[in-house]
Amino acid sequence: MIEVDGLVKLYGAVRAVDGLSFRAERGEILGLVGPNGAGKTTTLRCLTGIVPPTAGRVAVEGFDLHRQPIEAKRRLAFVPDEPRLFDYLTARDHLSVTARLYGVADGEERAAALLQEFDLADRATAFPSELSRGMKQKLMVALALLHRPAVLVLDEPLTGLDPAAMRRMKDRIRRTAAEGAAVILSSHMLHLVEELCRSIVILARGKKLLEGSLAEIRRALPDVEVDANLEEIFIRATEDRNPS
Amino acid sequence: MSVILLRILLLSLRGRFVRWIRLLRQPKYLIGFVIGVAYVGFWMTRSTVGNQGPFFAGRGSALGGDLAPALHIVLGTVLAGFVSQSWLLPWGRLGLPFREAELMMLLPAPLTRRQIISFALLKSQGAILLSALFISLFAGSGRLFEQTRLVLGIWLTLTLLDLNKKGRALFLLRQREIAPRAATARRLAVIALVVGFWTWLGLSVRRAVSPAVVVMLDGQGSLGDVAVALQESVRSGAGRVLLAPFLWLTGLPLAGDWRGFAAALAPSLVAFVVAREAVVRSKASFEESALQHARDMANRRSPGRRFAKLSERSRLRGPFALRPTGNPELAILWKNLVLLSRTPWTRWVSGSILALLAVALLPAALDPPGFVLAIASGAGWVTALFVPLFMALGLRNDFRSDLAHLDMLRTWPVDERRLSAAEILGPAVVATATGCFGSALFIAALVGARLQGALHGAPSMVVGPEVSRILGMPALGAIALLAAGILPVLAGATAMISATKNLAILAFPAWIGIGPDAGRGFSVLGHRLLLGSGMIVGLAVGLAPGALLVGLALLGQWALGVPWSAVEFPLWGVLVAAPLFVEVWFLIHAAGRLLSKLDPSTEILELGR
Repeated sequence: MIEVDGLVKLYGAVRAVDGLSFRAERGEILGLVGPNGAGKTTTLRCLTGIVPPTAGRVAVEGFDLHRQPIEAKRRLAFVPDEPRLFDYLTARDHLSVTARLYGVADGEERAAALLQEFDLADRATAFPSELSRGMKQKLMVALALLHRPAVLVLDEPLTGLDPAAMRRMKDRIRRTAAEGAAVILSSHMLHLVEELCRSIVILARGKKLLEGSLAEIRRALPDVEVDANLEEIFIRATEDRNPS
Repeated sequence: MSVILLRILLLSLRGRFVRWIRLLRQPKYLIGFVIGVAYVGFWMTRSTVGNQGPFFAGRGSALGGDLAPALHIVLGTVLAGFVSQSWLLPWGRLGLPFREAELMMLLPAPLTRRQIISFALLKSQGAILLSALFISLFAGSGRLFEQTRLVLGIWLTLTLLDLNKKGRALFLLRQREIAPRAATARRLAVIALVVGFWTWLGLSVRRAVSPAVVVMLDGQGSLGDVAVALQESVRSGAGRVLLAPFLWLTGLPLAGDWRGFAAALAPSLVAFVVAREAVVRSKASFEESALQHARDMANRRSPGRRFAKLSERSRLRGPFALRPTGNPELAILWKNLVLLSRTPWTRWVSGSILALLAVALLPAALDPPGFVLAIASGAGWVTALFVPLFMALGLRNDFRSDLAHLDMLRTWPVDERRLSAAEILGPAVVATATGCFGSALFIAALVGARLQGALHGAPSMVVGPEVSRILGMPALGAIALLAAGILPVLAGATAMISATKNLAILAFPAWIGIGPDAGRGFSVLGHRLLLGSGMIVGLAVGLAPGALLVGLALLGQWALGVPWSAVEFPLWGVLVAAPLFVEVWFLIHAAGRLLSKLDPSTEILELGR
């Protein structure tokens, strides 16, 4: 479970995230959507300890990310929008180092299984420069799943994947949640969010506009069709905030 | 050139300037910038303030002073040689240097070839202007007008050299496009031109200098007469005609006054216009080769390029076996050692032992000249004492590489202090291991010399007998004890240097060449000065308590009437090293604090990475 309370992130005078609060329970997939510049990536960076928030609290399985960072991070995994791997480590090296960092006792067996699952077994000794964008993305997800995180944070996880890999990735995200992890998924692919997420948070200019299930956020907006999809809701919810 | 292309360049410059100003809002960067400017300012004004003439300038005269005429001829001839040799070589860069992004934007745009080539020429002006400024700083007299003349002269010379380089690149490209017979004819014409130029010049000089040489050989003249004849030969006749363009060019920075400058400027400007027109009117299809060049450069800069060459077997190796559980810091050290080499440490050790055995035993069998072992022992000393210090400073297998991955590092469940310790350890371990090998090499050379002496009676050039006398024991034992004393100090010193360096990286991340990039500018110069000073002060502070402890130990011995001996070297080493390690411990804590406070959004992520 991850709990975000009153998160604020300032860049000089700019409020990238402005008092954001939400929570994702175990087994839940929460979608984070918003127009460009809404503060999604900054929020995810704050949630995973990459960027220190200006104010607010993030707790992972009850561990405060600021006060008990090691315990919180042990239970957390992050897949960024752009795979940034070490140029000099092979796919297998990345998994070995990650296993040691998180103290995964069955690291070798688990690494082999994940390489197999993500069709990377025959590319285990490849360096990142020898992998396609999609393969790098899959490796990032394998690294994130290696230590069986309680909270999985994904930023645009389907970028660069072929249709078959997309389907398998969606299944994997569902399975990870079914195994008890809280998953936070940020994406511009609204059909993906609609398909996978039980609850959705719509952000604009760092603030939360709407939160709830698709039905709940549909009800929260006046003059929206009863069968409106997330795309229509999103456009309606954010159009006032984006006059352009 | 199109106004819009000029606008692109200006906007790009403005963007850099704005980013730079944003950084300077932070006091730490501002201080670095001020120190950098003060340093450069000192070089600019040193002649007027300190009455010290610059390297080339004479008293009250322009560059070169009394030597200016001779310097002028030498520089003109060197320039002629440089330009002509560049046209003789049939290989080199083809086409113009563009980045892929620029080509993708410019080539589809409604621009003429001339405009695009002009853009390529203008792009290099930034580096040329900066080079002109820097050369003039170190070679100028410091007076404003002379300095301005010098900058203008060097700028025009460098611009013409740049035009020559680009013209040659387009010539080589065109050679590939035209029919082979035509290309061969053009090539032969160029060779004939260059060979004819130097033959004519050589004959002309020979004719002028020969009489002076004959007189000198008869004992009636001097070398000075020959030099005068040489000068005269290129100031008149064929020499004057042939070298004129090069002498005009080099005459600009060497001009003693504005009149001389103006006289050299007019023909230089004509040369500039002619060369520029030749380049922008080139018929070579530079587009495709420029794109290829851009891709090649991007690949060459790609950090993963050198790793892709590794064999499958090598990719499975690591410096040591990394088990999935245990201290997480070891995973970071493992990763950072892999950046340098995948060879297992056992192989390094066995290879080193074999090499050392060869140095120790082969002289007994081969009886080589004494200098061979002297060189081996010298290399051992250098590798033991100096190489590790430079390695600790220069190796990049620490935060310098890892800050580019800060978004990944930050998610690891490792305490900042322990993470910093692991990062600092990478260069320190490699540097100390190198120092150990150096010490062992020296001892092996000493053993080799002794064995060679015993078997062949050859005198040792490695360590003289006086060493044994001074140290009061056989030299081999004393040197081994000395090495045992030096190694802990070396380990402490390399750890200290690595810690200071990493602290600076965390304090000024925007100025550090993180990953394959390198920082530039006054601010970075200021930062390097700060870092260098900090390193020296840190080492001095770290070594001072140790030196004090050794001094106290020696004082105690003296008071007790106990004579010192080489047996004490290891103890002294520990006494000197202990405070260094304490200092490193504090630096690791400081690095941990800096790391926890480092906001990549303001200093790294926002800087375009």
